[in-house]
Amino acid sequence: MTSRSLTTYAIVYLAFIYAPILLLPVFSFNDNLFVTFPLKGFTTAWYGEMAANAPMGKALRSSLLIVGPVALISTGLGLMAALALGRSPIRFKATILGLLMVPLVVPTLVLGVSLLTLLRGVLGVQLSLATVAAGHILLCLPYSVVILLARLDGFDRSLEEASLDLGQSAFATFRRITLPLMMPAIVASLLLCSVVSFDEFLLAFFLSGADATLPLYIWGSLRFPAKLPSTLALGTCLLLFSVCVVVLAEWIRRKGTPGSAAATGL
Amino acid sequence: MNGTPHTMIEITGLTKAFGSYTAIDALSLKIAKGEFFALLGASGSGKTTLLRLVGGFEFPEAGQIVIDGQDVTGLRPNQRPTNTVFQSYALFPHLTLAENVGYGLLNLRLPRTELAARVEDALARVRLSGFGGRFPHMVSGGQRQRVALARALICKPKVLLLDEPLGALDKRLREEMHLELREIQRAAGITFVLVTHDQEEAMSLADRIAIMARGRLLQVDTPRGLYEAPKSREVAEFISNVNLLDGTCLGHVGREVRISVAGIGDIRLGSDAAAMTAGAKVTLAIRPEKLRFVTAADAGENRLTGTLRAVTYAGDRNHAIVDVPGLARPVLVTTPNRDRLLSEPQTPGAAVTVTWDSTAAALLTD
Repeated sequence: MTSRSLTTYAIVYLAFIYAPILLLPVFSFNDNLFVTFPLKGFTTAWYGEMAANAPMGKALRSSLLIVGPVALISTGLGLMAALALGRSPIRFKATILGLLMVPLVVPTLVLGVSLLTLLRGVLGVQLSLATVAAGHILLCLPYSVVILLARLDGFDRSLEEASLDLGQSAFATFRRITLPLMMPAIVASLLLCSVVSFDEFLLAFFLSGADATLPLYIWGSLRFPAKLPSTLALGTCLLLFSVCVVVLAEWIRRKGTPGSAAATGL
Repeated sequence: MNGTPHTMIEITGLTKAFGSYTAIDALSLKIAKGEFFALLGASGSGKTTLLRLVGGFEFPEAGQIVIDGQDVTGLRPNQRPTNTVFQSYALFPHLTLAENVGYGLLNLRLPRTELAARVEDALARVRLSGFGGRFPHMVSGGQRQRVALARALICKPKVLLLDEPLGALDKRLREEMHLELREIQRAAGITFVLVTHDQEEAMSLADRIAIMARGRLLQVDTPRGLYEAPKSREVAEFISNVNLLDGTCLGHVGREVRISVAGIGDIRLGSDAAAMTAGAKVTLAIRPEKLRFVTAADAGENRLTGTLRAVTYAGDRNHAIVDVPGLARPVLVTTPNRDRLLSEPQTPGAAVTVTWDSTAAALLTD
């Protein structure tokens, strides 16, 4: 009885979360300008319209242009922070970790306004894709630190001691032992930072100049009903892509875990 | 070796603190070349910290460590003539067993074929020929242990440090590894320093054992010395079971000495007698297996009578607990099972007489 009601609850819960998302691909193939039931005929016209939409393509390229640098810089900074917190004898580690996590809890709205004030009002920097990227790095850094630190804490420290003991220098130990063992977490961090940057709206809204990123373009196009179906087509493509990325990231993360367990003899 | 025993490790006044906790307290110790040395102690006694200080994984606040004439106190692990077998083995999970074993040779930049030959030779020495291509998680605990040993020995260290290397293995495998460790140590002629909390392991492996507590050495001696002639109450009680008797020296009788023990009466001590003067307060340690049950008529001068509380059957021997009026703690008597008839006293509550030889008791000097 209890088990059955729990099952029902789980199904309703999952439907509530995923049904709206599934509507996206359904309407993207619907031969109707207006997004309403009942469905009319099947069409791929909206996908053609999407491909022909030059401003949309430009926004997509803008987004993709900053994703790479954002992911690489956030992960690089995150790796340095994680090594400092996990391996060096510095003091006030808890405070430092707390400060690194602040962008996770401060409302992005507040971050956006204060960064805008800083960049425009105080520093007088011209807004561009570079300022958007800078904001995204700030936002991505906590994710990167958490992922990398968890991995660093997860493997036996005596592995690094063994490498030193067997004649390797501290740097060679990092290159031969620490870095390979961190690789699954580094890849996961790169993927997660890419996803965060790619669909981030608020900071991009505050910090972008003439070039819109894709979320900004989509938001702008929602005001024109005629553009909605091709936006749905784009949304479907992005949905497919993010599912692939998330699955890939999780697969890589799990692939890395059994190795570390074996290393500690557990 | 050139006749005189050569010192391999000399530790002088070594002190290591973690915050306000003193892990190693002004410790001094000499370990000879080619010696199999064990650090034995309860957890928290500082034995692992001492090993890590020798390996270069920790650095002391005060004191000096000299290995084979070279002061290594400030040197990092990769600059010391030591190698370590870690408690967790610390095999690199992303490298094959062959790559693990060859790791210590990377700096030599050997030709590929020579590296492979040396690795195969090292694997063969620990009976793992043909396992080189496997990864650590694909082999058993005992095999991982042997890989860790081969990896540490391939660098031909002057000193091999072993941190509870057999702790994760089951009893039978551990006993096999004991024999193997001794053979490897003899063949290689390397000084071994073993950290363990298992006294049987320390006694069956080591030439000498240091008993550690509170960051200090309580006694450094051969296994026989520690067992038969413990210097202090703490050492006597740490190594196996023991009966401690407090008494007063009455004076010498020939080569023996008479001692009055409350609750037992006068007894004779045949060993360590010269060190005593009449009137001195003394403590004697007698191991349970040096006591035996006799009939009242057969008892010699060293005797005590009491009531049997319980007997535990342990296959090859029996452990008996005897309450003696006047003694605070019961007396433990271990007797061998010489036949299958259980001829030793068995019934709880029975009155028993226990005797021992004058040379069975050790005088505690600390």
